[in-house]
Amino acid sequence: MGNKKAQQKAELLPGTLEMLILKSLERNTEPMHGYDIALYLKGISNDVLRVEEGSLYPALQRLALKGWVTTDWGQSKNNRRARFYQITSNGKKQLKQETADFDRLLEAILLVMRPA
Amino acid sequence: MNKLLELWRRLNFYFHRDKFDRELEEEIKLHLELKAENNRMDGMSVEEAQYQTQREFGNQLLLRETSREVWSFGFLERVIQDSRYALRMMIKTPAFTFVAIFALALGIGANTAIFTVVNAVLLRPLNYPESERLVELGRAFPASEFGSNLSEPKFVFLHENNRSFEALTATQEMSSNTFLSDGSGTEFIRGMIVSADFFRVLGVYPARGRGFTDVEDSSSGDQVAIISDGLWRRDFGANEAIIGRTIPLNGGSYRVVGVMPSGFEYLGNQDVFVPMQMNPASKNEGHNWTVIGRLKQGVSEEHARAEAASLFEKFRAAFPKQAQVNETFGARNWRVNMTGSVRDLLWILLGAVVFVLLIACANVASLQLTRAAARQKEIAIRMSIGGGRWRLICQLLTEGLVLAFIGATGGLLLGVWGLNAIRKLLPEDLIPRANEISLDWRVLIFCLAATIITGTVFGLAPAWHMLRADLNSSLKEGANKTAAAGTSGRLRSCLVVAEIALALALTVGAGLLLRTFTNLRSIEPGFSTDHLLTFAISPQGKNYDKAEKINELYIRALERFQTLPGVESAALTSKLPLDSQFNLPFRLAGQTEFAGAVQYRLITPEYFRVMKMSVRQGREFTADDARNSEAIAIVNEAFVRRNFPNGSALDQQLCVGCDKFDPAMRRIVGIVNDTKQRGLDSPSPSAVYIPIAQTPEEAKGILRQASFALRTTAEPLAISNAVQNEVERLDPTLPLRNVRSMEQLANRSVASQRFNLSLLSLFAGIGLLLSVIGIYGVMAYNVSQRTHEIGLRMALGAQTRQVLSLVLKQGVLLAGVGILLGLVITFALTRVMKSLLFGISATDPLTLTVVALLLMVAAILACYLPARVATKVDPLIALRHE
Repeated sequence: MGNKKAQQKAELLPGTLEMLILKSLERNTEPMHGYDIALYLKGISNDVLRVEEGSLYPALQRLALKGWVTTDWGQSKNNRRARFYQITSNGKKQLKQETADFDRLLEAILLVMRPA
Repeated sequence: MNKLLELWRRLNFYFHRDKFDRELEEEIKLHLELKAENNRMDGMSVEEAQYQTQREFGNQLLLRETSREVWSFGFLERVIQDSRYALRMMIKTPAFTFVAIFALALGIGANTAIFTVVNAVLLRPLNYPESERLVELGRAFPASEFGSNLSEPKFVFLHENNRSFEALTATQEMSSNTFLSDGSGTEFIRGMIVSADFFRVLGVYPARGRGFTDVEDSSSGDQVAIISDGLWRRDFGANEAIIGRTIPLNGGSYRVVGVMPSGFEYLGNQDVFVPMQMNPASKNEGHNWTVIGRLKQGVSEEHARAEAASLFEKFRAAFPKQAQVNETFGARNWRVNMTGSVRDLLWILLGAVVFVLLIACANVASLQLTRAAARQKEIAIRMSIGGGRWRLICQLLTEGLVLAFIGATGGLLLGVWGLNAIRKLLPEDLIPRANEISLDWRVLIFCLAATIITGTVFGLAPAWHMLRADLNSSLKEGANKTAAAGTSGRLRSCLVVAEIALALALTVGAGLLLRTFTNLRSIEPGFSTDHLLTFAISPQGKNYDKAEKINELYIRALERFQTLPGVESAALTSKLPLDSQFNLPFRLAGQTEFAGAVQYRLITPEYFRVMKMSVRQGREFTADDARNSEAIAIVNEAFVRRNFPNGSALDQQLCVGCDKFDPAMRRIVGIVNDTKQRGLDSPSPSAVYIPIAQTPEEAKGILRQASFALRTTAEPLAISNAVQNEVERLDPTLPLRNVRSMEQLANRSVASQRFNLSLLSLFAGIGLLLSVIGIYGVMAYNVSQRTHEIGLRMALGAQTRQVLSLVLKQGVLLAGVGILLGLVITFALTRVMKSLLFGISATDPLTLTVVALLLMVAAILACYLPARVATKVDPLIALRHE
């Protein structure tokens, strides 16, 4: 039940999924496949952010279309053919921009929610 | 740059869609497997893990859809996809598709054709620079509408005193007998007499040479002319040296000072322009001049009108004799004035075709609803597996639009074809600016708008209905029949009622025009029109420069014609009845003022016998009424009624034209019956007949245009070749002109009514056909829906007759409501037709009744077929039907 709530919350801010994916790719430096990204996001957010597959793959397509990630087929850790995603320099620029925007937004929200 | 790359990636994707799908599938498979392994590690069984994974993963199909959509061209691709689906659906139901496209093509085609005419004639600005500043000036009376021409003194007065206009010009058509002759042959051409400012007013100047100077336009000016580009190319080989050369115009020689630019037109195609050579002191009271002015920048039409009206009072003060009691100067936008005569007609025709389109629309919408009912389940399934409502509406809308666009393409072709047909059908001079009728961007926009609106209407009709339907009941077999029949049945009934109402209004319009036409054709023109051949030979040149010489030629010609096989009798008149008019003023003996104007006719003695007219009193002319014998005349009954209301006209004396024209005081020796002159619907004018032998010298121009009338034993036009041969033997330089049978002339006088009638009946016919198809469709559908019920009734003992009446009753009810509604529309609308009708009221009860009955019969026939089908229902099969 709690998980479900968390899931809903994660989806409340549209457009953030792309940012989270880019961030994951940037931090990991290594190319990741879809399941890896989902696991990573889940783990790092203490299970709060459960990325729905139905959103993850379309989001990855969007990033590829914009040219912020590149895709390549390769071997996964347990020797399976998988599609790996890697962030591009344009993607990094975009992430920087989005992070800045997000910080500003977050600050503003915090100002409202917890006035000093 | 990024956008470009993005586009490139999109295109790349588009051409490798299959690969994309395979890769995505593989990716998802891997994801599922990894997840399942993970779940298993958490301690689930293999199946449980798989099931859990699948459930968590959700709708794979949707995932693939959304992933693909990321790459797709979005809206555009969806439209293409939907269109392809729509096309597949259309091919699957060819009968439906054919009827729908046929109906739309007719509706849109008719609209395209008529709107093109309305656009070119009423809406498009005239083809001159800043043409909306052009204003026509004329006589105005409080009772009648503005429109008539001005006299020379009035034009002179306006020209000298107005302050509203940059320039003012007076124009008059040259006689129909205008010709160029270089000795070897004669070419008849069209020309205009114009004042010097003509070119300034229109804002169009000669392309070569110059316009007329004030000196050339004065009464002391030389004979000069400006020719059209067409004549220049046709007759003078586009030779630049034409300027300064003389041309042999009307037997004189005119120096060419200019050539107009190609494409220039003024009230139709003109070949030559000559200066008016206005006389500032003129007392000529002939109101023969069309006066056009160009408003000064910033001056409004209202201001010009007010000024003109006040100027008339000054004119009245200066020339009281030339001003009538209620007369004033009127001024109106030239384009509006020029097209005023056909405005009603054209808007009515446009209204009629809009009705046709509405009927077509209702028809297609009702067909779509039938299909919607059949597709209820497909739609329900699509919605239950996650098809969004919005997406579904888009799909249905696309289907409607695809249908509309295919229909419109057919309609556009049909419209262009119809337009050519209209152009050919169009009686000469009925519609001003007829030669300007052509397609342009406005027509295309109109067509596009009509298409989109119709497509939307019958795309949304089924969408609205389907989305309201209950998903659950639609999915259940069996339940759908009644559920679907409910809402769509009502909507379809409404559509059929609307169709019948509109068709009734159209048919009443056509019926009224038909009555008008028969009323006109039943009018006696005052002579016998059958077996009568008419033509002219227009003698010109030195051999025929005296009235006497022309007369001799005519007498010789008549002798030859009379001997032709198939000719009973032959005569000559200066003007045929039902042709154009020619008036002269007349004075009765003892009067000093003109008593009015009268139709002037020069005739040979046999004329009344050839025309089968009857002499009421006195005598005909004879061969003894010669040049030097007593001056005499014959008048018609209208003349007697007007001028001698209570006494005999016989032996009274009058002069016609009088003074310099023909001073002879003529004794009235006979009274003859009236004949129609302007048209069958106008009253017969008063007329005076003069023996041709006594033609005054001043009237030789009139005599030159005289027409022969030959009473024949067989089809009159069949002997035109024989006549041609005789004319050639008489004098090979003589042209044979205007060869027409009197029937043709009579038809021409009702040509505009025939035109209105044929167009409106065509539209009414289409409307009727479509609404019959509509009612048939609804009834056939209803019967198929009620097969079960009918089978039950028959199983319980209902007779064929009862089943028949069950179905017919429903159809008659629909038709009845439609007819009542149609009558209401008709009462509201036919009043606008008043100006097109003759001898019949716009709400003629007989026409209304007949049309209402006609529609009812058509509706019953349309219902009969489905009703027959219903009676053929086998109860056993019908009961198993569900």
